[in-house]
Amino acid sequence: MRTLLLLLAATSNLLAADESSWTTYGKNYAGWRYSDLTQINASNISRLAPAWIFQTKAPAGMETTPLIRDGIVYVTGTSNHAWAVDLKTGKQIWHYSKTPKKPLDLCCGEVNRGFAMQGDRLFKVNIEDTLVALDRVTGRVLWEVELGDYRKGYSGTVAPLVIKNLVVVGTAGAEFGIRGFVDAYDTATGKRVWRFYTIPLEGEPGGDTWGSSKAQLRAGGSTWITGTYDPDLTLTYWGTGNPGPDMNGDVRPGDNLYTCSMVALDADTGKLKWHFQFTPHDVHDWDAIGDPVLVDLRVNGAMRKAVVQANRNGHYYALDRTNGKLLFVKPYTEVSWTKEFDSNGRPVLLPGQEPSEEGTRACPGLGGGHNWNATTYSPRTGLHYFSSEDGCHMFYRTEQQFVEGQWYQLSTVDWVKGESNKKSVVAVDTSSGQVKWRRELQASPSGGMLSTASDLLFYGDSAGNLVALDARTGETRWHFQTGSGISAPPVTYEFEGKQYLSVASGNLVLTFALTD
Amino acid sequence: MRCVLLSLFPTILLSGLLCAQGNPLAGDPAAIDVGKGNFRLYCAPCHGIHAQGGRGPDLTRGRFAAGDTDADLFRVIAKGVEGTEMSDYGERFDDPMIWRLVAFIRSVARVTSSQVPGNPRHGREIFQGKGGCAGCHSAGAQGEGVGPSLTRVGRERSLDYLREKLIEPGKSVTPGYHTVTVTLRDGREIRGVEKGFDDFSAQLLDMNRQFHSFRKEEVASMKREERSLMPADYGTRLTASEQTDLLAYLASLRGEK
Repeated sequence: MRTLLLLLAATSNLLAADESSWTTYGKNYAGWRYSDLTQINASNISRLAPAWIFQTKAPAGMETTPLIRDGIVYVTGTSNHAWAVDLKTGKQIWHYSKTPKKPLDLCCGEVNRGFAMQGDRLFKVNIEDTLVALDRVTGRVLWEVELGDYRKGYSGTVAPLVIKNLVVVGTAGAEFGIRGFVDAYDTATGKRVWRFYTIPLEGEPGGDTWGSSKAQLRAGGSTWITGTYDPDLTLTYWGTGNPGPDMNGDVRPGDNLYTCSMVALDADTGKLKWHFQFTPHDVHDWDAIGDPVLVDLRVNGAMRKAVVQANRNGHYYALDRTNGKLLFVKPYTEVSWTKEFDSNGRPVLLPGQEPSEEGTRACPGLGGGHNWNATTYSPRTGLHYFSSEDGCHMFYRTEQQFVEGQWYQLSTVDWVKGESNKKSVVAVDTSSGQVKWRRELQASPSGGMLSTASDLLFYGDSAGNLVALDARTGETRWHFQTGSGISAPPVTYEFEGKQYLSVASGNLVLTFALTD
Repeated sequence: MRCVLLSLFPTILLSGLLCAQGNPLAGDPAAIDVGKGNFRLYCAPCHGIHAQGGRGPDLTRGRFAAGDTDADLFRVIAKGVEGTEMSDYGERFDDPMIWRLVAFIRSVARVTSSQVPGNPRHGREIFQGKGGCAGCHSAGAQGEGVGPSLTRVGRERSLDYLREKLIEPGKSVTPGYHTVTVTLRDGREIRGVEKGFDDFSAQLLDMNRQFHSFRKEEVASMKREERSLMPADYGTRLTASEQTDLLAYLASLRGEK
């Protein structure tokens, strides 16, 4: 509660949100995915049941965050599909689709994480790395621009972020030797206003962290999870992915800025304000793409504007979001590669952790720790909730020449024989980085999370269960079998006096409400 | 089919012709290099990091169940093999990428192919008799148990993998065949092969082929174990010679009618 009051006083711009809608990826600019609604609570959640189910008939694997406005649900699907659905009945209003270009080289399927919205315009990326603007009323295409060349390995999966008159967007493709970037486009025209490359060339600031690598061998740094924004600082925060090739760093000596980093960009110009690199010279594919969540924290007696992240390398970080200085770093899962950090947050590496020809056991595994799945922060509990896979992988490396547009990972991982990784929901105290509680699970909480003022924590799992936990203790309060593994986060909102909850599962969109 | 269809289009006619004629990237060191990287990413989990097999067949033998030509290998990678765990990669990989994989697979083929030792006819008798294998596994029309079907196991698994599974069945459990044990509130235990298991319910098939389903709140406990229900004593129950003959029989099971 203390945190809530301070935040409401200090950062009202940051938190502006209307409970009858959900209009941006993280619910508010701070990326909280938290709702003040309390109609659905522990005393009545046993009556939570589907109000309707929308069958998209598209390929499964939806990762979308549904957007809600004026009684309409807007969802994106796999393979360049998207829909507007009547919230009252679950009936389709319009359907957008575009046949993906072929052949497409993708690491992880033709997935999409959702729309951004401004006025009567919707924005989404297509898998061949274009950004398209749609008329919110009809679904008609208003404009479409290319972000990156899909023939060179670029692809689009991220939900864009609207800031003032700009739609800010990243790219995927670090496993194919791309040069990552964050872009901003004029929402009215689609004209690019700025671009920030996450990979500097020789002679540019940070360009000396790649040895003498040629331009085409400075690869990676994709930006495939939506950033956050502080209107008071006019800064937007984006996590960046791994350097390429993933598991053989010999061709890229140095720290490889700005990969596995957080970058704070001036939202008007795209200029780099500061950066913080979590994993210098990464060789384990530990993308720094966990949600960059904005909170104000009391550290050593002083209030600090912070950005926190559950990083794939197994650590929870709090940074001063005005300047990128480390506030604290704490492990939240098993870590084998470091035990200490210097005062700037640079890890001191332990020996014998690098991938090898015969395989090297290292922890966490390739996907973390916490991977990309949406997180939630509750100002009532002061806890940041996220999924984690707890365990290790065998990391292998190999040699390979770079071929433009081709896989450029230089190896892979395997399970460690005799070990089985655990899955869990982790609740971390944002003021200290300490794990407040951990709920170990059989099925991975793969779908991302949502918290509410009823102290409920919702998430979907890989076995198809939509689950509600007590946000203070981690105890189960409710669950429902949706019929498909869930890879998308739930959202909640109020419509005609009733609280609803929507989530995509497989190729369905399910909407829940309390039965009478 | 892919090659035939592609040849309808002039711009990719070359690809179609190449399918019929063999790998255009055969022996190309750069292609083998890239193919190796892709192999490790997509194929190694089943075929082993050095292509010597595991859950999937040994690819270093140079002889393949689905055909031995480059076009056969291309087809298997693109279309998969129905009824096996080999899925189709044609939608995910373009033609050059598949050819690079074929080039890599050819590059690791041993000059001499290893012969499977043992007497498969005697191995069949052990399978049906002393070994008791048919009580849990089917092999063609034989057997009807709750364990994995072995009808094509000689095609799908390497000899090393089969040997390991025979002697140490718990070392790596076939997906979908973990052990689930449910303890009822009266203390009784129901154990069987996993048909479903998550944080809220468990489904299993017991050794009598009886299906059971439980909600977590109905029982005292339920657990899923990283082990197989297969007996772990075949290393002593069978002589070395019997093991060899049984493996020879398993290796001969290739799904032919």
